[in-house]
Amino acid sequence: MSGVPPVSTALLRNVPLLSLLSEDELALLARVVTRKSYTRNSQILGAGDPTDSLYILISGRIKVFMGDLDGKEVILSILGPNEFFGEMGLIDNSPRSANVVALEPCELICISKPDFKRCLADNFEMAMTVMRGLVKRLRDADKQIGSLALMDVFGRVARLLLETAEVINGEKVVTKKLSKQDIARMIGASREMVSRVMKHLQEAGYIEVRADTIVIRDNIQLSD
Amino acid sequence: MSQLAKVSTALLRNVPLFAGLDEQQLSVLARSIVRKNVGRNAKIIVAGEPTDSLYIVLYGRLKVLMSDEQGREVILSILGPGEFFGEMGLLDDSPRSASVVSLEACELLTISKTDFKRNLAENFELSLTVMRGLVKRLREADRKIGSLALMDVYGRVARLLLEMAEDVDGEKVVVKKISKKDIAKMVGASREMVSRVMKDLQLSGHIEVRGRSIALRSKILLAD
Repeated sequence: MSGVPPVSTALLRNVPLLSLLSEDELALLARVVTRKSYTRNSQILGAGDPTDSLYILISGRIKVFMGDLDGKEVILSILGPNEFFGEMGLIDNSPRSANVVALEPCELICISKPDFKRCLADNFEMAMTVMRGLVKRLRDADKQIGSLALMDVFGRVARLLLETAEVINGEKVVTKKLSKQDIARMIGASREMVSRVMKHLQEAGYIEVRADTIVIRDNIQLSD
Repeated sequence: MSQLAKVSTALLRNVPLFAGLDEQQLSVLARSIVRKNVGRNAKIIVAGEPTDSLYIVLYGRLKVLMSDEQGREVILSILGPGEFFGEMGLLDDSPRSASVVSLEACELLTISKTDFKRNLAENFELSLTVMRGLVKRLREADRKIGSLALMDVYGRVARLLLEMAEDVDGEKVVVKKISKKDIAKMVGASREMVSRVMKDLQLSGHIEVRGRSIALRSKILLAD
């Protein structure tokens, strides 16, 4: 972690969460936010830590996960540029409930709790953006609960691939690099089981693995 | 679903969601709020339907559930007096993602999307309360994902009982009636498995079943 000089208002204006703030507010915020860099695999937040800031990702990807005492992990989400995290504790004044680790080198902006709360109180649109963000995460979490409780590992892998895929030239493609270990931790299965399922999906023609990307064939469908 | 007369500001003042509103705002709100009585097993919200209102529970309990095509269900949460539901669709304009069914006779308040959004914009305290409600649900959902992915059925049943327990005369007791079938739907297991686990927990002295309530022994409190 290294301290880097303060940020420009232009950088802040590009962040969707802050895009509706006025020029004055952005200037005020630019003076108080800090910018931090993290290397791959470094821990950004630890479960149980006190809560003091909101984080916005400028570049890189991070994973949000929970672990048990035996070191088993479940990944709650993977976040990328312009997404924010750490808002839950600022809203309910509780310690961090999950761990956040950098999956690749990351650059972040940190906004302190008082600054975040002042921005929220002064800007209804920002409050709405935060609420919509929470709703999106809650819907994702509910879907994850549904698939953990109701689907077998095949269904869960298929759902995850479909949700991660982007449409490129009319094809559904998973371009984000996802290790089998990470997939396993996102769906609550072992790495070996995920390898087996992915191999079956490939042999049955549901998916095609091309170097770092996975192409999903049209015949893969989910019951939900 | 039967409709009752309009509500008084005195009634609204006791609703936690509206705690930050002043007398003027409450009286405006009172004109647009409708009070409804529903019987047991009534479908208040059906997954997939468009979103038009927010609901507040005055009394009674309801379950929030998702189901697959075979009709298998997973219960996402159980709501009681003072809690609200249906806000997600009002915030992100999406159809209902889960169904809500009453577990007993309930009395509810409903507020239309337009009135809710107007009040949110005019009152920051209301936005904050909604955010805190979303964060609370998200934390519960994350814990549920953690236990579905990392715990066996024993751990999940024990965690659920711990979360539902209230302090009664220095003891942790689950006083709310909950069927084995509903427990099964909350932990993603079969009813038979839950019966077996509950029997084992009873035989091993982790829990004590007294009529309709379940007392938790200190063994189970330490096992977490």
